[in-house]
Amino acid sequence: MLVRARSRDVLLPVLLYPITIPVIIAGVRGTAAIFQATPDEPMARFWAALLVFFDVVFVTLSLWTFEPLMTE
Amino acid sequence: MSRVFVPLVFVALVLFASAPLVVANAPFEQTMGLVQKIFYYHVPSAMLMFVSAFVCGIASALYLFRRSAVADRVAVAAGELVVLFGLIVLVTGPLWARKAWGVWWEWDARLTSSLLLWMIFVAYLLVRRFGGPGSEKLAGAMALFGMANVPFVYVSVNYWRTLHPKTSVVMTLTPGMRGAFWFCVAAFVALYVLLLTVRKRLEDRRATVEQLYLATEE
Repeated sequence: MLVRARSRDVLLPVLLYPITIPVIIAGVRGTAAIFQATPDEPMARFWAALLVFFDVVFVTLSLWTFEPLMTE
Repeated sequence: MSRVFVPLVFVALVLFASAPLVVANAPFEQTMGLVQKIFYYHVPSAMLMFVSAFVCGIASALYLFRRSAVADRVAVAAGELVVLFGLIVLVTGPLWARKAWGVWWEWDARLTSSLLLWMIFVAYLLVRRFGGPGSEKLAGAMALFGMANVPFVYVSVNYWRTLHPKTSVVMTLTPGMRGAFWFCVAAFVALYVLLLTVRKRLEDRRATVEQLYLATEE
């Protein structure tokens, strides 16, 4: 049981990292576009839009898959 | 199925045996010369990696919502093929980049996105293998989320200054190259279909064996 719990702990970063990277990239790029010497507003807006779309898709998907995944 | 299978093996063998000749006979690209030829293997593999990611995602969705065991087996096969073709892409890409850009790897949008896609499906296989009982469902969700991730990384490619040649380069090939390119795509598609059927059949057999074991134990 302990072995299994530990393997699950190890798996979490492996799963989380690739899935969240697009959010991190969009956040970093968008913030960089705003805070540079001459703010690049269209660019920041694009990355913000990407974040919103990401939210919409992933929240929908999470709500949609929760039931078949978590119930037997 | 087996009636189609044997001719397909034959076709794939012929295609792969003649692909080097076709590639060698294709005209040289003006600036790159010989180095450009890796393109004929790199691009079809990349195409199939993306196709396979979608196959895996859709099959996983079918498994999650319809409880179809067959879809789950297709998903495993497709998931492994994403990793395999992704490996081809990630090996041939740097080989070309070393000559074309002078570096093996660049944290460029296209490269990063391909690496991420590959990692997602490695994670998918890891979860299946080491996730403990009931991990098939979790892995299925992983594949589904991974598939949803693909368009995002793909969109960001267009907005991020990127070194990687655009996908539109395929449309601007000279006629001699175009023939060779689509020939290689056909060869890789045949290989993909073959591997997918073989791998799925293996999973089918495994399921049958498991059922037989259960039957004898009772």
